[in-house]
Amino acid sequence: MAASGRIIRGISSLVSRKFLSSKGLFLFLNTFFFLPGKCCSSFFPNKSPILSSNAFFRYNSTESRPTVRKNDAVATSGLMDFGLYVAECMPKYVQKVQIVTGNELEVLVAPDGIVPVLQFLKDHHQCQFASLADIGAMDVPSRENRFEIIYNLLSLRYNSRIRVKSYTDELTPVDSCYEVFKAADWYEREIWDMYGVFFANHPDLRRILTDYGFEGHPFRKDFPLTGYVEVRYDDEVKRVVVEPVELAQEFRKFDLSSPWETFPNLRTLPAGTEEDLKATQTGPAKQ
Amino acid sequence: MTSLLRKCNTLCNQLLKGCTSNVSVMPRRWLNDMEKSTMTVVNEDTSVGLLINSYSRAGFRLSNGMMAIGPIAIFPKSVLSWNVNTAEDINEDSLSLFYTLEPKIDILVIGVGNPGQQVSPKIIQYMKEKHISLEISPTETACATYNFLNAEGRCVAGALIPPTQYRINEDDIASTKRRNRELMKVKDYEIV
Repeated sequence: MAASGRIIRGISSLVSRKFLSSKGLFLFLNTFFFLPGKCCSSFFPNKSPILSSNAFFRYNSTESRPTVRKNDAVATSGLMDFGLYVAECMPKYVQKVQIVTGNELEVLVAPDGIVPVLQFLKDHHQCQFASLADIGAMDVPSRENRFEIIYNLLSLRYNSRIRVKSYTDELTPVDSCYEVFKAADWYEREIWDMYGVFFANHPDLRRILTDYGFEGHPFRKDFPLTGYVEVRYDDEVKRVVVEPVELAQEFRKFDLSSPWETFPNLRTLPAGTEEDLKATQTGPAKQ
Repeated sequence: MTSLLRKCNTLCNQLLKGCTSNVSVMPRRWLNDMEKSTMTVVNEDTSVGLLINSYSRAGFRLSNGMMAIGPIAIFPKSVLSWNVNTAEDINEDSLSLFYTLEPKIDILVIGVGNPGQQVSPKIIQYMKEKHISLEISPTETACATYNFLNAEGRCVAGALIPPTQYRINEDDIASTKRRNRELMKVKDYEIV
């Protein structure tokens, strides 16, 4: 009671007694500031109670990287179990299951199996990945199958995402998943335009981003950043002409290694976890 | 109880009457013509040249009212019949007209008919040597591409083969019926 008396005397210096009777203030403080069950005297050293109110927010913690997302081991293991389940349901096509950056599940499939796996993920009651968020592609020229096609799916029912990855080279067509996801229409057109990956059974596969007479596939790694041709208006012929590109300055590549480390908190990231499918598969072994 | 209902009823009627009497909305006054939204149909603009209004198994209807039958080679100011059967039959001779023309066209839009048709890759290479970009697609999309490339003012020519399979929607059926009705209508001055 003596401590509460001290509070009231301290606060009343700021709050006029006309607004709050001492009893009312006590009740107000009781409900908002006092932690249940704690002796109030420990919170209030001899200094002014208002200035030391930051004592409320000090706590003991061994947190060393507060801004880095923590890895939820339970969720990750649940995700890996789900990935193995998908692999068990589609053993013919699924080649690998992995979890990257802590919480993203990736299923790597053979190119023949893209449409069956996507159909399975969309229709199966425990999966229900009914939303195709994106289709992307990646060019790794050093590989034999240089293009990687990446499908990002979202399940609204289970609030989870999954990535289906497959591969192809420059000449092999990939089956379009337009029948499964209508949204794939423009995404596949974009991949055709930018990378040159042909999608069989696509309703209308034509260019979408590049200009009408454009030659080449810009997102390939061997296509230069500034391109091959440039356009300008020629006053003699009174129209836009296409000419080989001429840069006023030669292309400079800045490859500085900075003396300062940019992300010291991320020096050691949790490694991606892989599960060896062969060990867990009970059905016929994959090809 | 019934009087209450009756009161509710009259109140509702009054409210509705109030709503309907205010249905004529005052048009917002625009400061000047620039603020108004306008819409122009490109095909009705005759200054951009020949555009394609519609296509069918037989041929194409152009924006100046002409009907061209069979495969056509279309330019901003003229249209010619094209001597080619299917997309596979396109060879260097078929395209000779396009690269001998002056001023040289930038883009040649080729409509191959049905979506599955292929064009021989040799002519793609051939036209690349002549510095003419090709835009090969099914005729349905090629017509639209030719239309808005022309409307933009680019030097474009179209080589179009009528498709044999295409989807029809109700709008197409309705406009065909309307056109036929116009044809069949007897004009007043013809009745003697």
